[in-house]
Amino acid sequence: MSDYPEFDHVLSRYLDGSINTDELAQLESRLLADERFAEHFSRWCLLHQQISEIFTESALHEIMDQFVKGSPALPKKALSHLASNSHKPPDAPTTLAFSDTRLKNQAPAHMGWFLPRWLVLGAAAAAVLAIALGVWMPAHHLNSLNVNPDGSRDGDGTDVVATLTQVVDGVWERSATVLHPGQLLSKGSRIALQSGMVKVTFECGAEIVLQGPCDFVAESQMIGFLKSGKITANVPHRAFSFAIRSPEVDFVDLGTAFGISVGSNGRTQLHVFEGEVLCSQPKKEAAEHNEVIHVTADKAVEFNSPGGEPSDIALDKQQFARLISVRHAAEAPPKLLPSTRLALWLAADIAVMTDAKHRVVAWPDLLYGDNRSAEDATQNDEHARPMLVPQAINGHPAVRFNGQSDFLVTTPLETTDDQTVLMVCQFSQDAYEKNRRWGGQILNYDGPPSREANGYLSNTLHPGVLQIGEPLLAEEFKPSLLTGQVFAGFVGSATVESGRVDAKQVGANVPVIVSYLYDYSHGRAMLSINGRSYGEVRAFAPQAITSRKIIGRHAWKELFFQGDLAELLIYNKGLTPRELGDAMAYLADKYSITLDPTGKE
Amino acid sequence: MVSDAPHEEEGLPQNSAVRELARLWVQSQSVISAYITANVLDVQHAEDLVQEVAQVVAEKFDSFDRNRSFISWALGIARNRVLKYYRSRARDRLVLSETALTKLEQALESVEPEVEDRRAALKICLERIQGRRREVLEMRYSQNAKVADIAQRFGMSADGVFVMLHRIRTVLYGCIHRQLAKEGAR
Repeated sequence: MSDYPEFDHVLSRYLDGSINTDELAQLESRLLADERFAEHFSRWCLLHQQISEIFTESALHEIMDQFVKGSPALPKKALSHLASNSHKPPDAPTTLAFSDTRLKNQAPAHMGWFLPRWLVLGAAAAAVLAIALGVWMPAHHLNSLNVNPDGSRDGDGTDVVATLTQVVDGVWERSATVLHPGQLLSKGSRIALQSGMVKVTFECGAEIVLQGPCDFVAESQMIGFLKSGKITANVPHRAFSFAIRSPEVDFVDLGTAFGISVGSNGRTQLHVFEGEVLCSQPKKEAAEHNEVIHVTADKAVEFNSPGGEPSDIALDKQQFARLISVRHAAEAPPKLLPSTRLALWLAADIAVMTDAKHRVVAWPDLLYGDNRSAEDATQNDEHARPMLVPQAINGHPAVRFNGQSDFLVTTPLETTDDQTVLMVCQFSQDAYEKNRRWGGQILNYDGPPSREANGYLSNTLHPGVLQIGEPLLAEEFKPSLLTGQVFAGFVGSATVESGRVDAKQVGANVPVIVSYLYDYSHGRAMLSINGRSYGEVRAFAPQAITSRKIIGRHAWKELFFQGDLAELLIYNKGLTPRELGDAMAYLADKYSITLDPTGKE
Repeated sequence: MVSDAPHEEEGLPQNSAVRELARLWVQSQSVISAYITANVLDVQHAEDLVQEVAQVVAEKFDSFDRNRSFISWALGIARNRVLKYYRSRARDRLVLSETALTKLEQALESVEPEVEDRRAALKICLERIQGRRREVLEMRYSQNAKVADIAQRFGMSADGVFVMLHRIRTVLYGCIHRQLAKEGAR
């Protein structure tokens, strides 16, 4: 097969370092004289390198399998599973299903090979860190990291189009499947209510609220079909051109909030609250072009008959008032809290939906400032629901995570390279349980489908994954030690941890305000507890992504938070010192937590 | 999520340059690693050299002439690093001359478009290596064991290990060739 069989053993000896002087002379002579041989030689070099790459990759997979304390099924698969089961009866488990694979509870003997070798890179090495953005990622893994704007990935086989984020007094049509908050909806999922309301968040970010009686089908990540009933839609810019079809008219959003009602008599109304909507009414004759009309803010139109002319009517926002109220706004806007670039705001004292056992079904994202769309955190699996505890933190309610199984997942949330995360939390006494060997996470940006679990091994993650919680690895773990970082994968055997700051062990049952500022634009990251800074480090990895955020556990390792979370705010920017101070003051006042007056370690 | 405010971090020149650099490096990294690992026996040193090359490439990226081939430029940097390494350390093997290294760079650049296909084919071919041959190969590449250690582990002579490794590589090389031909025929 080789064109140079007489030389191949020499090439092999060169690669193994055992070539002798005569052989080297032959090799050089042929290399310089024969272009084709030079290419043959280079293919041997590639072979040598690629064997090593493939074995290293396999070894990492093996090590991680042993490391994971109870390897969950890949979220990607869970999503596929869910999508295909979204019409199952309520007793059939349909949420993020983790495999029954029991974990090996011990670190592998060769764990040391994997353990992070801190990439302590000084100023001179800053450039290397800059290219750690993606530079080290072999091209053969690029496809596995292709993340679409909506957070899904090309070719991942899932057909999840939306999440049922809230159900309010829902009574389902007899012919329809009963759905539950947190349930993922596959393409073609039908929502048919006799009465009550549901909120659905599409993967594209569009939110709709339906009021029964209604009959609706989620047709794709960007299209819904309203056969009958009443609906409101809030469509962020990233979901531009989201469409609601109805029997008589198709409505295409141009960045808006609007309401539609489709009567059983075919009468269809559109009321535009903000922005602009395009209406397309199919003509009776196929040859005729559909007429498109624009309806702008504070206007309403009615379509009375198939193909008939629409007529202007008075805007009637009131008829949609109940639907609009399903979306939670901060009732009394706090004075000090920064309102710009707010991406997510969860507050246990303002809005939490629970089941009959006080377990959290949904934790709605509060609309405040320019946080215009709600990426609610939900949990469909009753065994994974955290508890709402009324007076958990200085008299305020909090969501309690048991450290064993509880977590919440948001709908796809757009976050940027610059981030500021604030949270009010406390660790439980169980966090100090003596057999704990690995740290738990409070917040992780690599929600399903997890990029980490699906192809990061031996590569860098681009963009990185913001994580806040205890250090994961046994060698670094201390109960209640708080750390923040953007995990950016591996370079060789070293983990790339951008902006990592370790604070201190805060102790059990001690409420704290944690702030993690990741200012990629200026290359710095800071972590503080109760206003006391625990250092500033370089932030060199980007992290902008639209992804589900996981609250209460690691993205795919079964490493859970043991404690209470009362409030969580995510800003899509690095807050200024003044803004950060204001936000901390707001939380400190609310939760009666004393801030450190010095602000220094 | 925020829907209206502009993304202030977008469009910064430093980000676009970094992304261009990342893209170019990703395309070239396998070839650069192949070049260095073929010419530097010690795996750890080879890894360090790849990192050093990445560092220099990043530092000098501003001065990189966009009309030139990036891979050629980066391989030139890699050659300088390898030569510097040869000069600074006691050699544990016989190595190619600078002229020969330059020739190898040019050849590697010309086979760069094959990198991904060859890797995919190699993955399939490696599945077919079983038994002791597999164990020897894994010890050599996964554990970076020296030939003498492999020989001791398997009760073989060093020459026997060299021969076995050569035969495995030859088998793999031929297998890749057949795999690529099969793919090309489809």
